[in-house]
Amino acid sequence: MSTQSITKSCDLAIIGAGPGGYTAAIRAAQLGARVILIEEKKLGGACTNVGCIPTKTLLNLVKLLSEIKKSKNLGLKIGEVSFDLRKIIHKKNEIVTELMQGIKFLLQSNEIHTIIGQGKLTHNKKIEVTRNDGSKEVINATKIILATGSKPMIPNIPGIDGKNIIFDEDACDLTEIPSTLTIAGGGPEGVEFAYIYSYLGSEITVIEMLPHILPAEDPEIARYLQRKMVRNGINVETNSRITSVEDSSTNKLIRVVHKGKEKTVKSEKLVVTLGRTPCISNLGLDELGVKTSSGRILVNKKMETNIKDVYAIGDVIGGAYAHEAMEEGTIAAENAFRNRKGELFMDCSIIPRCFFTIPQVAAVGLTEEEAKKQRINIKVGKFYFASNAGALTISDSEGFIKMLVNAKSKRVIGVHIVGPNASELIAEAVLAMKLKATYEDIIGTIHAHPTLSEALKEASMDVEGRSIHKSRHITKT
Amino acid sequence: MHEAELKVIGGKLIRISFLLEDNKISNMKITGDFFLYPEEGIEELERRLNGIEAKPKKIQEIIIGFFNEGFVIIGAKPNDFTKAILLAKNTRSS
Amino acid sequence: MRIVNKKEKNQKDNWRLLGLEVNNASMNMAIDEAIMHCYAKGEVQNTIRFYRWHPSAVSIGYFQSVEEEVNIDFCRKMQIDIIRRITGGGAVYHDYNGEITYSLIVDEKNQIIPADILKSYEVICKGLVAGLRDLGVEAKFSPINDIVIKGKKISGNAQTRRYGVLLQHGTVLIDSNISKMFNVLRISNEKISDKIIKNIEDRVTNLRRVLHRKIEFEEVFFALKSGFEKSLQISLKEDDLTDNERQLAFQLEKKFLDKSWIFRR
Repeated sequence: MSTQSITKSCDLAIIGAGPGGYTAAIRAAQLGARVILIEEKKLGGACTNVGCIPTKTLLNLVKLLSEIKKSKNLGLKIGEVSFDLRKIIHKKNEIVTELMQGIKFLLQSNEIHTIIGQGKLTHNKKIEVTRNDGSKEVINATKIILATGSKPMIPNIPGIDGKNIIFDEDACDLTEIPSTLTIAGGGPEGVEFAYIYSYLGSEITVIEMLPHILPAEDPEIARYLQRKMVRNGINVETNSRITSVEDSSTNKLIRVVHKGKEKTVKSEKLVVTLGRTPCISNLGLDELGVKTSSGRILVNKKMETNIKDVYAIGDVIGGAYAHEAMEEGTIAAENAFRNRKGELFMDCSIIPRCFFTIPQVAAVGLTEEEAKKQRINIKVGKFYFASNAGALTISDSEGFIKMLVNAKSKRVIGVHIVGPNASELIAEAVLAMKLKATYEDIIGTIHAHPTLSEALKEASMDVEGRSIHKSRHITKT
Repeated sequence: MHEAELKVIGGKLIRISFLLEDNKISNMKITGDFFLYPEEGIEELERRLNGIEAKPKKIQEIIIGFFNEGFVIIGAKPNDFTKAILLAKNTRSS
Repeated sequence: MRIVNKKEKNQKDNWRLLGLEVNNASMNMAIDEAIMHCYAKGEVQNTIRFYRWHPSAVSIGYFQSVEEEVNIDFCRKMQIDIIRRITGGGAVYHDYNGEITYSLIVDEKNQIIPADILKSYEVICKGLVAGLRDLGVEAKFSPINDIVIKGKKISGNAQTRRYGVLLQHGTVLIDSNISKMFNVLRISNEKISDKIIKNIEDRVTNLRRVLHRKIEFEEVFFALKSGFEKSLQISLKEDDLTDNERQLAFQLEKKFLDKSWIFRR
């Protein structure tokens, strides 16, 4: 082990090369900063390697599988449809590698220096990096961004560390499809894995503590999806909490308490998706005196921590989405290096949430319940894809759009979609909210026909009860 | 077997079937898409009609007596049952 | 369009909404009865439930006879379940792809329920009429227990009152295979004798026909739910069956599967 440490200087040092970290690095480089990016594992972080990218690749694949099966009813002649798991995983890995190489290239082309190693803050605001071979170097940066992300939360459940238990980061590396599978947690990750494994042949049980899956989402949307899941053969146990996990000779025995009563769910394997927790250990936060709360780094809306010139972004501050981290990374980089009057603030009210289930779910802004809590008088518009020409032409018309507007200002304050391509359609709603648009603005915007996007316009019209493609009876005297 | 159907105008259908032996009713079966409350009353009504003489007066007496005990019929009037039974009496299928 | 005003909500009665479930015939009927029992014991609140039947099934009224109402051979061949309800009324074909069924369970003495049975049919059916209006359909309650659109039946309903509890359930036709319906059911000539038009297809209709478009079950479910809320001035909150109800339903299912119940008359 080398006792001599190298010292490097730069304008910005970033710990963590996930979506937040690498976006911040590139933005800062674009603004003229010399950037050093420190990453413990792999470029692209959890998102690219074990999170968003692999899961969405597999989800899009099972969606394709379901489309193929459906197409037989549309006049296409397709023989027996099956799959080769090894090839699927191989392809998934190819895509992950391609993206990771892409990120590597972008970093290089922006002249960002990347170090693979563990970064730790020191008391005098330097960063000590330890590489895998044990060698160290010290980074002396004018500004620092902490973007260390999150890791799977291991709940305090007896037996949760046993065999045949898979945590989310490993759930995309399947060597075989279990015939039965339990998924602990009916949140976004849990339902997505339920779809992946179910379409690949597993009999799934999802166990969720709260009254419905996707508990943070609009109940109408979540329950709609839950019904579809059940219709697709996925068992859903809500109001159920796992108390322990044991083993029988062949299965995992998952002990569950449902409304006070105990029961056991048996399955070959258990996938745990009970949340993620920020990575704050071995970061030197205490050494530098960076404040945390409830396990996450505290920041203000400008992404500043309590220490001058030290910022934090992404999952480590309690976020949950890659695009959230990317936005925060951009804001932190701008606030650190842009010579401009006024700083950028993170607006958490317009972060879209997308779930690549079948049908997809996407939402931005408030739910009805949240609006009620904030004492906002709302009007609601709703439109079903069954009445949307675009959806009918793709024979994929299950679902609806729900739009919430402020009754007084007419501004769009929440949009909830369950249906085809919800994850793409939501972008228009996010833009509308960003621009503080009213539902009338959306009505006044021409949407191409026949497309799914028209459904958002119709939902806006429904706020006033004047959808074109929704019949209204004419009151006769 | 004596059988008949009576469609009550603006109401429901009553079907009657029974056997007659020495002018005595047996195997009385009353079916239809009417509503009777409480529902179990139908078995009681059939039971009461079994064994009686198939005379209009007697039939009416049983039926009125039954409905006077508080059973509620929706989709027909008590008289409709009498009518239907008499209709069945006057027809014979097998 | 819906205006949500927080003041409004506080004044409304809170009911439980169950739905949109899919079960086989015997389980559907067992659940209805289980809810009634548990309601009578004070374990659950006023409930409205929406469900579909899978496999498709035919239910006959309490006072009907299977042989008289159902083409048994056809049902056997097509694997259509046959069950007997605890409510009176007629024989109904519950097409999985064609209709949605609701049931409403409430205290007989509830202020919104008239003591008069005929009137109570109207009050509850008005909830469906309001829901259909939300879909853009002008429907009317037609005594005793039907809902019609321009004289054609789109909904049939049946009610029972036991141990102080009222159960009304009924169907709304969404996209029914009318010719299949009339293969399953034996239609008596007498029943249509006082109708001018003998053509069976002129007597019933469905939402797809009326609206001239495909309509998702979920949309009908939501509209009917809204209709009940508006018409009965209640607030429906989605929830699940209790464990007691579920367990009781499993027990009661046996009754509905029992041949001596199905063929009792």
